[in-house]
Amino acid sequence: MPLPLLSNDKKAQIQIGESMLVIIFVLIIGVIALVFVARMQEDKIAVRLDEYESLNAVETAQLVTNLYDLRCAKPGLTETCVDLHKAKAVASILEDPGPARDYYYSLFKDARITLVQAYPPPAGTDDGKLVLYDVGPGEGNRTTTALHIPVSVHNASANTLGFGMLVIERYRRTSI
Amino acid sequence: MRRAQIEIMGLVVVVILVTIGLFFALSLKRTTPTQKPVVDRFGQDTMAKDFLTVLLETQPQGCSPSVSGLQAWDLAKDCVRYRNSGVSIYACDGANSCEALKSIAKTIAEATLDEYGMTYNLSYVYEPPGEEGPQLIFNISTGCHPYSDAQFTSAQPYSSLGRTPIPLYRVTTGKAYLELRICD
Repeated sequence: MPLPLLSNDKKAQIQIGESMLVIIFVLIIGVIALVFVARMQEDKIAVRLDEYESLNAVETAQLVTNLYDLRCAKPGLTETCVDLHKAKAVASILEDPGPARDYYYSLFKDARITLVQAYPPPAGTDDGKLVLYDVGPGEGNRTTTALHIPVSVHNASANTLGFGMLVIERYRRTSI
Repeated sequence: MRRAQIEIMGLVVVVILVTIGLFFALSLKRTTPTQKPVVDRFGQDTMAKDFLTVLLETQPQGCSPSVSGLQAWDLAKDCVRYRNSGVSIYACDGANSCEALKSIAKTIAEATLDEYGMTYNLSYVYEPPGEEGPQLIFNISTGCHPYSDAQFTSAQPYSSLGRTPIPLYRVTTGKAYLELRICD
């Protein structure tokens, strides 16, 4: 009599083991599927973030090129013209923190705006670069999206019109 | 019976392993954006469009006769005149209008487009009236396709084109234009 009982126990044990194995495999596949979906979502969000950041850079570029504080006052010049003396004044005002920089921060956020003079070529020690605005996180904590906009550079005192480039770099914080 | 069960279990394990492998392969594959980023397209288009306008408004240095407000526009017009008649009104540092315009364009392109790692083709083209085809006055290129649209195929996936016509009224007949193509 004890023999058939033992064989029934073994059968049941095997069946329970099979069921457990199936449950474990299903769980493993479920976890992997979850990880996979999360990773796909992460990638999608990263692409969206890049797009938004791009649009922000474009918005900043539009703002800068249409900023009255930089535009040439002389009639007859192209719309994409920067007055060198106005630009120098803006750069010196925004060099140190203060209400003026706070106001521009509300427009440009974390960014660096540089006016580069390409023609006439800068002479001597002058590298032809004038940083108009630079606010943002430290070097290691940011990624940058850069835009280059060609502009005429009008020097009213010398009465010359040169070729310049507005370099608009929009910062994105990499760590919070 | 037990043998059959073990074989079925083996098959199940194989199916599970293949599924796991597929999941991993798919999750490792990054989703790459199909389009060029907005900022790159905007930057490239703006550069191609505005570069020539600003270039032509630039006042050249060291030109004679010393005319107040002389611009690269004037050199571009004078260049076509010089090409057709051999007479150049302006001379900049001993160079005729065509050489002077090319020199200015080259200086600016090297300081900007080259500096930003852009591939471009900047050309000045004159189209005489009649059957004659377009004539290339000068060309500054870093590997992008030449000026002719016919030669430009879909080999380059994205490019921006800026073209500014040069008015030749009271200079000569025909058409002249400055063209900048920026490629990926």
